[in-house]
Amino acid sequence: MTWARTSLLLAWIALLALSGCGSALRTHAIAAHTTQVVIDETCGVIESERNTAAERANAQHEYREDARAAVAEARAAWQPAIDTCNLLVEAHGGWVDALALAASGGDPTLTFALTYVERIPRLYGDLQSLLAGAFHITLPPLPPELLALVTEPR
Amino acid sequence: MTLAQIMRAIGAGLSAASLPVAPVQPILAGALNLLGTLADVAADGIDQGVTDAELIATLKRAKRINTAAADAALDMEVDAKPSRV
Repeated sequence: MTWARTSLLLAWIALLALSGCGSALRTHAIAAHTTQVVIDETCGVIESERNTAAERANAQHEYREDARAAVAEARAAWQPAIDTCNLLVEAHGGWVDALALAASGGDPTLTFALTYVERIPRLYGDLQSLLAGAFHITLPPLPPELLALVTEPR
Repeated sequence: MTLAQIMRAIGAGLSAASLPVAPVQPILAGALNLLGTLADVAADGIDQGVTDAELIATLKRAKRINTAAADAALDMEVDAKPSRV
């Protein structure tokens, strides 16, 4: 996996150099795009794992009553992760809306955008903890350009 | 070959490879694929000189998880099983 990590690091460095050349709005746009892909990939896997767990629970039981209870239990175990994913999606949608507002001149300081950006690392941290604790699944880190938006002074 | 193509190729290779922890594999491959997409955005923004507003207009929203269809299909399978009583 060393080659993969090295490629990842080199690519991030190159892309950060590129993204650092633009305006604050452009930096947000690139971070929002990357974050959308991370959320979709991560939550897509979570949805798939959740559905597989429910199907497996069903397959392990011969009778309807037992299968129904096992499926409900599997779904309940994954529900916090599903809910957190959907909160991430809402925060990202708010961010995209706020960027559209900023691009039209309605929020030149990107204040609204940042209120949504700040929610994402918190929610993603919750998701990482949930998955690591309950299912031993490790998520990739959030894009560094997103974290930079949250930590840099205003 | 562009950076985007290289990163996509790595992502595709990872998807096909067998890694020890299955749930991490698609996520890692996805992380590499997103780098390819990001490279596209960054390169497009510079090469084609798009405005900030045009760049914002291309942004996609993350997709909400909706389990209703999958749940309905599985519930039908469950209901088709024989009852214990």
